[in-house]
Amino acid sequence: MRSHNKSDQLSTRASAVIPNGTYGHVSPAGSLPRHFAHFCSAGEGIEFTDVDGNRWLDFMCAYGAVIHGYQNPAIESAVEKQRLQGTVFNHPHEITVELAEKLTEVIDFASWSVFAKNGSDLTTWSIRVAREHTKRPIVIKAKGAYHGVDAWCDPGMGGRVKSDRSDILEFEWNNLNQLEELFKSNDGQIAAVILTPYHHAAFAPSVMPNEDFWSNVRSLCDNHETVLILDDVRTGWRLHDGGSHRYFNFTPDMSVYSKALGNGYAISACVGIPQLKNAASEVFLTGSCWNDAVAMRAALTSIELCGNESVAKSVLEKGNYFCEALERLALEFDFQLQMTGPASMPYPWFEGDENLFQIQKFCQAASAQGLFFHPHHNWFISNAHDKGTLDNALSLAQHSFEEMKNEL
Amino acid sequence: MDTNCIKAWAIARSLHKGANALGLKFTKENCIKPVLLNDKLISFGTSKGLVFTKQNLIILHSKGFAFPELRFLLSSPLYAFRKILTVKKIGYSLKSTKEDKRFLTLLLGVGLEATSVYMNQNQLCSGIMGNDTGLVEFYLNGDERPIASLDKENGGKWRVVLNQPMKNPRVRITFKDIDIGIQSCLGQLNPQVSSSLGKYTIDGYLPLMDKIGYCARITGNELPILIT
Repeated sequence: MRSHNKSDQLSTRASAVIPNGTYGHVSPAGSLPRHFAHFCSAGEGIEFTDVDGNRWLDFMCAYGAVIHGYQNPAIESAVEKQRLQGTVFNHPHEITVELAEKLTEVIDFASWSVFAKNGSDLTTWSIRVAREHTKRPIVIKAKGAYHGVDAWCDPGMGGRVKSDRSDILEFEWNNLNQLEELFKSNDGQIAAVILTPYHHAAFAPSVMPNEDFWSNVRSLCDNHETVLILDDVRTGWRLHDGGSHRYFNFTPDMSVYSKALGNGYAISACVGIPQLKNAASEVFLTGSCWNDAVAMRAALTSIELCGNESVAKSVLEKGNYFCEALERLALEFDFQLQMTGPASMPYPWFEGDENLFQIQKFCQAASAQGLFFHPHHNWFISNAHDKGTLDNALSLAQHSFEEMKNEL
Repeated sequence: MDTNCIKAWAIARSLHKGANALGLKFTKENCIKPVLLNDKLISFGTSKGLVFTKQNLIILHSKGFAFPELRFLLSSPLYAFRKILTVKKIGYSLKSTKEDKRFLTLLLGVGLEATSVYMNQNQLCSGIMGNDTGLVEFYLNGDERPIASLDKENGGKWRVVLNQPMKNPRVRITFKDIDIGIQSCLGQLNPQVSSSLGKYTIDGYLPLMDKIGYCARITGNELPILIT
């Protein structure tokens, strides 16, 4: 096992002053047990270093917040210039308008854009815009889908009252009959359907949309004058440089982005069709640091890089190379590994491993090799990964399969 | 079941599980397997010597003493006396300062039993558990057999089994040592921090354990480990 001394000290200190020490998706018990790093000190490209000095070859990319690699030189340089001018002021900086113009240029259906700090800020705001526009209460989502930390959708159990979800209905991903039934039984009451481009639940293999899924969802929304919201927070810029709806060939009414948008700088955006602009103007939205010029500069530079370097295409190609090779490697050791979901953000799934013991063993063995493979969440391929680093990871993964095989 | 009824039922079942954990051999005379007599009374064993109102069982839990129903006690005083001794023995054992595996099994048994009652009966907990089923095993590091297991089959109810290996666990929790196990049962450990420090490991389908952990904390807040 890699050294943990400083990490342990920090965990102990953290537990004294922070509820649970660490929380949410980075909490150890919920997702990453002891053999993973729990506190980071630095990162560059596709590597990061934990507080004990262990170096990790990263396949989580800050849970998707980084797409061009840690400390991408072009982004850091642009950010540094912006920082010299200042970050947050009494009024928005010029960059706010530039970024909104850029987003409405690259997202084909978008005519307006707003900004916040996290995906949750704007998934929640977007359903309020849909309610304002339609004057209806109900929102439909897919069962098990993650849309943020607010009470209408969070995956936790605490601090919730019944009314938080009284107007939220769910259907099984890809089950159009169920969705249709919800529309029928709540006729004239459904403000919005909010969905991710494909189903990327934690602790379960990813599920792509069936061929006719999106066209039918779009038709249902059109027929019932319901707003279709795309939660592109995790997937944005990883499937298509113009938004994931283009990868799946449909058009939403609003899309929410975050994560890759700022390459590690806290920013989220919601874009929408012209018909929703008035409703968007009526729903209150603000945050003291939301007009953050530095994060906006990072986002603008990140979007430009995505376009100039065809990043979505690139990470999909790199992901394909890596996923196919990893599946072949697993098979050499008689393990049936399937990299589910899009190759740029694959979720690893061993056949018959519903209780996750096998993937946990594999990721634990991989962690000893310095590979940051997450056992319960989709991985991320960044544009900083190259063939050399992917081959290196495959070679280290081979040792992990060997170890697993020897344990059987 | 209403709130007080669930509490009283959890106390009674925990005491019985505690007796199992201590390996006490039951005869008809001293058996304390709880029976719900009506909406007010719970009997320890079918012989009805030791019967409490639900309210008095809750007082027994919180104060360490409560009067049983005299009419039942007077009808079978010998049976009642033997059962009282059994309950006192469990109470005495729960206050033990001897931190050994037997004590850990006792704490785990009573704690899990109360939690299972809440998961089956309490509206909030049963809502959280939904249709989840499966086997959760609790191990002491290095042991081949689980100390305790929490299990629910399709269509069944959550139940606690002590010291018996079962098949196909969904979750496996391993305490690093007895002391950690005891602290965990007493709610003295934060699961997130303890996991990051390697005090215990949780393998398998973690979302199930998240739910059970939340229900266990609800139970523990309402019914801290028995101090009868």
